[in-house]
Amino acid sequence: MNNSRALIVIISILIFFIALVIKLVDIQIVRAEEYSFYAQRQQTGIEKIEAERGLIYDRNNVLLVYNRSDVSFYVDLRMIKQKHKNEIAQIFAKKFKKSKNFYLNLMKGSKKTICIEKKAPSEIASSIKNIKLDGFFYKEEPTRVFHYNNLASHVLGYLDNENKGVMGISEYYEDALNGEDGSRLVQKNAIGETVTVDDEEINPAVPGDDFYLTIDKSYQLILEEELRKGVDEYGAVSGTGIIMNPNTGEVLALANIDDYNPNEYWKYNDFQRRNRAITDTYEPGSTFKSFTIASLIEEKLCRLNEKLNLENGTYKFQNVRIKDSHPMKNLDVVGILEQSSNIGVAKLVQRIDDEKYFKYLRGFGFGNSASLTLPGETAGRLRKPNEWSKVSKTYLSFGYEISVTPVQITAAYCALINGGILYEPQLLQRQISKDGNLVYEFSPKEVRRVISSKTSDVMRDLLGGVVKNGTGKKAYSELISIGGKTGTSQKLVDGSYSKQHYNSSFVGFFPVENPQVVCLILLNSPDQGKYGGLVAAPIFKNVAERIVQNDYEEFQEYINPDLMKNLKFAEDNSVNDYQSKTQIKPINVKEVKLSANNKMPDLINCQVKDAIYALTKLGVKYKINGTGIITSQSIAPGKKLNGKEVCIIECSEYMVRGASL
Amino acid sequence: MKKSSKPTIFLLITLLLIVTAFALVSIGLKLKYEQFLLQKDKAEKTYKSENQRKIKLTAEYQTVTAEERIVAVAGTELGLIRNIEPDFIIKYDNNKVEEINETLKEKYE
Repeated sequence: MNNSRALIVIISILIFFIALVIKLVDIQIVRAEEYSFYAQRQQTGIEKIEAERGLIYDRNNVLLVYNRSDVSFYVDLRMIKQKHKNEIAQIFAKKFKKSKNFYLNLMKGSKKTICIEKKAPSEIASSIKNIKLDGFFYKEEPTRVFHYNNLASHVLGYLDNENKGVMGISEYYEDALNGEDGSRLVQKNAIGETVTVDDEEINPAVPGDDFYLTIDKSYQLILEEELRKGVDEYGAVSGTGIIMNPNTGEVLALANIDDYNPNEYWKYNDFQRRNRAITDTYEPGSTFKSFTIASLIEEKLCRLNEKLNLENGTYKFQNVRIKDSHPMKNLDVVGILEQSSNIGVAKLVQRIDDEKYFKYLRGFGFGNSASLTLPGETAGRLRKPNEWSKVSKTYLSFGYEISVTPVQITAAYCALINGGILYEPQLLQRQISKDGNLVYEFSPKEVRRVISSKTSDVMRDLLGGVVKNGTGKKAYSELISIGGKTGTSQKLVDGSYSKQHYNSSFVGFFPVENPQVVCLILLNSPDQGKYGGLVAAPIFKNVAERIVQNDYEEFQEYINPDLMKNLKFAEDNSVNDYQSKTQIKPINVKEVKLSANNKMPDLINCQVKDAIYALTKLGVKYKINGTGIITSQSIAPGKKLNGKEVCIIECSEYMVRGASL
Repeated sequence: MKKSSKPTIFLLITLLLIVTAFALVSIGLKLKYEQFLLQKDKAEKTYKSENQRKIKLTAEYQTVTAEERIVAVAGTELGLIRNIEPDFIIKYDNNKVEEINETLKEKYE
């Protein structure tokens, strides 16, 4: 009996083990392929390793663009429980300072997976990342940060929602900036967390290269501020400004107003995002006369002192009436350029052969792309002589029947005054790999010599005269010698020239004796004064003076020698002259005297820093308008203070002997 | 059970124990290795984000130390005034110069 019981037990165990073995064989051998397929699909996956995008610096190593890892949070509405929704809404409302209902409403939708917070900064997101709830997950997303927002936005471009560079350097150097994404094999658990990484299956990412631009952040800031001010003041539709180094072709600043913030590019329209300095063409008008005169001087077809009859402002040529805005009887060539006479230039240009004239204009780069390393650049239009009408050359001489981009005209002016050499506009200095190796050094590219250095010297002086005695007077600065040319051209509207809409421009350079900076200011349809000399020239002057003050060391040797002489060796009474000229009165600065019984001190004629100290000590809040010495205070001196007042202080600049910044 | 089979069973059990122990140790090591890999991965991510933070701070440092900002803050918040007086002025009396000239002329002519 015992034996039979033992037999039953042994047989049962045997059957159990046989069943186990059969199942094992089924799993491990028969359906092994199927199960391993499902397991691999569920647990392992190739994960992309995002390559770190390259950084962008300005010419002085100021960081303009960098990266940040942001976190987006998602909820799978099929998996999340109602009580967890409340919990998530509460946490998010507290962290992101939004209402709890905002998140609850988001989670009410019928979508399967929704994003409840997109690209949250990692500092805020780090604590939320630890929440472990079914149906709640996050994804790290790289974000490109344009540190100075709108600054140089048209040069830098932006990244779209697929992290692809659009416009600017971001698009042109997309591959080099982006690097190469890597990959790795990871195993994940049921809720998608990484369990392990297969270190034999890692293909590391190659980070993108860093780029150093020729742009100077300070110049860019000055140009943008002054251009924005100008566009507002003169009621222009838009404005474009470019600053270049004429001796190398380096672009030091490039701005279009209106512009956009690349961090929030989706809020702006195409016009605001377009780099109009290279994509939009216009007829340059009188700024083009300089090239006509330069070609004639180079060909020895005119003398500077020869006089021409300017027909009292109206001249009929080949059945076309040419007019001067300021009628003159006679002027020499110098005067023709200074007063921007269309008739004078039209008469002069007849002396040069069509082909030769065309050769010069092509030589200055018109009709060809300027080869600026930015996408979307247009070449403008310069027709060949065999396509010209009888009056084409005449119109060309003063800047019509030709379309140019702002960058072309700036580069051409560089050639005009730098000794006669056309340089390719350059936007990049160097490309550095992440390990610090120099990948590429961009050097100035000489395209061709267009005019002799002698002609260039003459042009420099002539353009200096335009600012001193001619239409560019509003660009004249006491600080530094400026040369340049004004331009006003009617805009083509519906196929005919408009009498309301103008392109008003000024292309200038400084210092005249050794040009270091060339700058173009172009205003589109200003409604306060149409002439370039009235609207663009003052903007140029402001830009030039701020640049000189900013880079005082560099420009010190070029600062107006007469001004320097007056400043350093002055007669006793000339100090007073200087003060009256600058309209700044000398004043004896007082010290703030605090009274013992909590009364408002007299702050008039005191320095702001002393007033701030006194008011802080008295517990009075304050608001300061202006800079300099205090001229008025909203709380009368001697008034009893109760500690709740706000004192509004008005200041103005005074000359203070011995005080310095 | 025969007396002679005992050492064989003992040997088998010992072998089984060694194999089991070896298997357990290798599984343990594998788990530890995977844990290290995860830690390494996490550390790399931390390094990346700290590096990004450092770069961001560099950019912010450059912003706050920029000359244009310092000048603006000095003027508007601290009330400092730009010195508009020239660095130095050498003053002379023109009449005195002429007087000396006359004296020199008289003396040496």
